Amino acid sequence: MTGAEETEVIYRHLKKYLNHPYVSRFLPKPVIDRDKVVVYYYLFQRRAAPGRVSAYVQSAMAAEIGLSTHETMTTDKLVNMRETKIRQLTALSGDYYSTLYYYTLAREADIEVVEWIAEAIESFNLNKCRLFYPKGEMDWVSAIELIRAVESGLVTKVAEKIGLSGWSPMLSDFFLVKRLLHEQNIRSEGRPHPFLSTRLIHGLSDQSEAFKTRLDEEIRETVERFFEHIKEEESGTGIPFRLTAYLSDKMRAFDRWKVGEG
Amino acid sequence: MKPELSIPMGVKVKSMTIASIYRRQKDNLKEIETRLERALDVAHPILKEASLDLLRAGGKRIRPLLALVAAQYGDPKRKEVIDSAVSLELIHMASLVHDDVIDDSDIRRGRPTVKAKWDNRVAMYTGDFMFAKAIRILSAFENPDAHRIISKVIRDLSLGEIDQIRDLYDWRQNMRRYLLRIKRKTAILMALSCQLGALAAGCGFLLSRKLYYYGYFLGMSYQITDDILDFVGTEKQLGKPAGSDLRSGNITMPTYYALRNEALRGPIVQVLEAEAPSEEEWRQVIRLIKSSDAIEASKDMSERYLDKARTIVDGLPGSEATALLRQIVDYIGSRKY
Repeated sequence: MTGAEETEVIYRHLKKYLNHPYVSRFLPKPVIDRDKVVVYYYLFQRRAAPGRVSAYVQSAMAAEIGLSTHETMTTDKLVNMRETKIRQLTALSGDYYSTLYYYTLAREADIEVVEWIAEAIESFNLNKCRLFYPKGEMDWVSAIELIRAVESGLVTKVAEKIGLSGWSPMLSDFFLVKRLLHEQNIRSEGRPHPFLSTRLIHGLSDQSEAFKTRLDEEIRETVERFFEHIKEEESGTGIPFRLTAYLSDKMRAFDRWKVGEG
Repeated sequence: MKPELSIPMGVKVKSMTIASIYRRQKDNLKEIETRLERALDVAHPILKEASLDLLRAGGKRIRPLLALVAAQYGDPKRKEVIDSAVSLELIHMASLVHDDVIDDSDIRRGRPTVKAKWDNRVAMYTGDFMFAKAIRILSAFENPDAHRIISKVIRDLSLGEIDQIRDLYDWRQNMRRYLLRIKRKTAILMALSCQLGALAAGCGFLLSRKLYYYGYFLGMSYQITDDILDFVGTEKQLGKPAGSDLRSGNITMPTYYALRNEALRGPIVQVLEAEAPSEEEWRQVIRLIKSSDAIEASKDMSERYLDKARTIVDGLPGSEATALLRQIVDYIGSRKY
């Protein structure tokens, strides 16, 4: 099987692995970030025994999805039973996914990776609080760094612990661009500002046009930096060519999508 | 709601007994408090305050206590013993923070809940942070079997919580569903507390397994008693109106038994199926259940689980730890609120 075929198989297994028949009656299927599946697949090839990579990827993805499920938690006053049930299941399914990473890795007898992921989850929640509940007004640079840490915290922690911290700048730029483009997309559709944008607007004293310009600049600079990392990699520091090729293609596709959106 | 242990004020002999168990573990429990404070000393004011608020609100630390008593069968001075007790309490605390979002509760242990003081998101972050901290502490354990057991219990706990939501207002569910639910919701974490304390102290697997079943039977009885008290306790004792479980659609053992009674089934089903029953309708049904034989039948079932726990204790080596475990069973049996 090629890497692409293997990651497709992992993706399909992951969908089954995360399925809970009762939860799926009320909540949409959890969103699985295929790009993260691919990245974890290449990372864990350096850690797991042949044939066991899939279990590791599923574990890390379960942790990611547990956290992102809790991100959808609402804070409004609830008015009916269905809304109440959705809120209850949002909390509980997030908890359930979070337990799966430990459950699976315990069966792989790899408790070291359990610790890495737990450490990354601690940092994730700390950074989320810093981002959403800052002590004072937050400047642009700090907000961007927190978003970067939140978006790629787990994946870069795993890279670092496996001894592949050289991959982290490329990975964190990739997932930062992905998030910022998502934010930009929501704004361009005129939907209510997502929470991250609201945070950034605070940093710019609510100047909406200035915000848009700054966001465009940030995306452009991060894309450029990402391709610089890729170029450096061509001189060979060990990131698999298939991974850099995959991420580069995706980044170019993001860029085209962005132009199309504009 | 998950039960929390409190010493019954009016039961002097029994309260002295349980108090003496706490006294014996005073130094260890003090160290656990210090370790919990340290674990939750995080570099963000809201996250820190949210975590420490719950910690400082107290609670009787029944899970750490069970772990400490079970550890006496091995070497209780091992570092892993305190680690396991700290982790168990963190897991319990994390579940309480999330439970308050699920139950939309504004008060716990007489203080505003995290979700009430801040919001649901802060509650999610706080619970997730505590849970990750617990796993991180546990990851120092080198026993792979222990990790298989712990991770299964933690997974089943969360499945139990989902089951509880699924079963709300479903009066057709059978007793086995209820028993599985309380097993997952309460009993297995008490069971794990006993087993983990023993494993952390270097005990063999067989002994640890016996202690697991002791904790399991104790936990089943504990939850059934809690479900009885929800009907027979006063609002002052319970800190919430009597029959709160039923009002929120949670069908517990007394209601099951009452549903078996032809004369009671009609009014109970009616109130559970009604769109918005009046306060008087609720009170009437709660009165019916309270005055029926459902309460006695539930007490019998609770006592049967305690007997099973006593049988396990009878098979344990004669020691101070065994005497303490027996006292804990007696205490649970005498619990009034």
